Amino acid sequence: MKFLPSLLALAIVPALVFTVAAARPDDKKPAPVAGNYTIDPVHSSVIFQCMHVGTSWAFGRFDTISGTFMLDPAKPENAKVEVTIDAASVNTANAKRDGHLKSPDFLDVKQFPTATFKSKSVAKKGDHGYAVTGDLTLHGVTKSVTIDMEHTGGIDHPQMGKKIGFYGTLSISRSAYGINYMPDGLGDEIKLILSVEGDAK
Amino acid sequence: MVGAAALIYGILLPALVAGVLLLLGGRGTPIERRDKPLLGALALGIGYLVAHAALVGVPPVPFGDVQLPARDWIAWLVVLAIVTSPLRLVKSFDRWSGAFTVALLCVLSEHQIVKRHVPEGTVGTIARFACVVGFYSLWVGTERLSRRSSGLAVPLALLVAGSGIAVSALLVHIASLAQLAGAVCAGLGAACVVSRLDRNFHLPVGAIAVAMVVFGGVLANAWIYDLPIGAVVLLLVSLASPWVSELPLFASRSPTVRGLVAAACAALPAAAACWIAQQAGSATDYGGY
Repeated sequence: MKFLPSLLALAIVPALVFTVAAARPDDKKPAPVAGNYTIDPVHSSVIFQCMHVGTSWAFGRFDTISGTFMLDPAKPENAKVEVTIDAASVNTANAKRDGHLKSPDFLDVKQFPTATFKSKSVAKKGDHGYAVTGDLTLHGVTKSVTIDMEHTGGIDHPQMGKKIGFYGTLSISRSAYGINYMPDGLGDEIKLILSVEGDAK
Repeated sequence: MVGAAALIYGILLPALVAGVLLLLGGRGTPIERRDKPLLGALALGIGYLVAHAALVGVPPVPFGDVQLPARDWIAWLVVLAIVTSPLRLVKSFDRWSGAFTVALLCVLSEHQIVKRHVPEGTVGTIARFACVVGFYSLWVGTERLSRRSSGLAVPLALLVAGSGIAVSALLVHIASLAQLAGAVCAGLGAACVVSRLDRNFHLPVGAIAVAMVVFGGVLANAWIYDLPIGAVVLLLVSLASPWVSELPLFASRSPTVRGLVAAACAALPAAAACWIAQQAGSATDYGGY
């Protein structure tokens, strides 16, 4: 009988571990709900990072984004996504650097005030993912890109209504979009992090 | 950031190409046949296009859905200036073809660079029309002066005015356009040297076409990005300064003196424009971090 506490411990600990694991939000993630959604600009983010003088990653974001998406988990190929980013809302936490990024040296926001993404096809990828292929227009140049978006969660809240979230990353070459200036100062690769929260219409 | 590429492709190469072409192209040619439009356009144009490709990338071809930045239109207008320059070689036709090509380049420059930034309506249309007519007059006047006046005056005054435009663009924090204007200034600097080596040197009308397209395009872009209109007007006055050397007061002076007078007259409004640009640049958010 002197082994009883040890045996009990051996039984209880795994049970607790499995119970806690089962309670993790990931495993409670509800399936995406079909519908039309409007992007919530307050809870959505477009963050970019770029190598500065080959030394460190500099980060920034676009503060103003808008758009819609339509989702049907049963027929993911019918999904549609349209996002518009206000190029002048670029924000790197330094007003003068932001001003330079807005100038013709980089984004040329007076000539190209918005960047847009319009999906052309959507395919299911894994349990929670979608490969969204579409046209990214930036600095007057349109190129086809594929963004791997992961369904991050959803809620049907009495006050907030139906919400759904997605997260994805994308890497682009800025020179492919005609943003070539200062190749020694800023790396060509721009990594984008997209976190989108949609409100059901 | 001025790196080795900016120095080589933005200054040294344009100066070398312009110097070699203008020096060799003029040698052995009778004075009455000195006006070689294609040679002049190539002398400044090649250097500019190489600088453009090296500093801000090869401009996309402007067909289909491609929306070109105003900056890239400058490169295509330079190409057009080079391509149309042989039209002036047609002897019986050169006055009309000259007027036609200048008018074409003025209208296209305004249409591709300025138009979308001018408010629609009667006032905007009048302003755009005045802009085209004013720049056309300035351009044709500079060409006429270069044909009748040899020596330093035209290239040096254009160099000073162009430097004023480049510095003003830099002061409103458009470094790429400042470098592109600088590439043409480097070519004009070489033309000044050639004018010292060849007493009968005339800056060819093709070179003036390239300089006017680039300076006009950079000036328009700088205006779009908050260079005050007062500075723009002063820089246009600076571009018109070579005519000062033709005043009766200086008519009997040597070409060098007339060149220095023209340069001084270009420098005054250019310096005032730079001061205005500096005030405007420090008041805006653009650059300087």
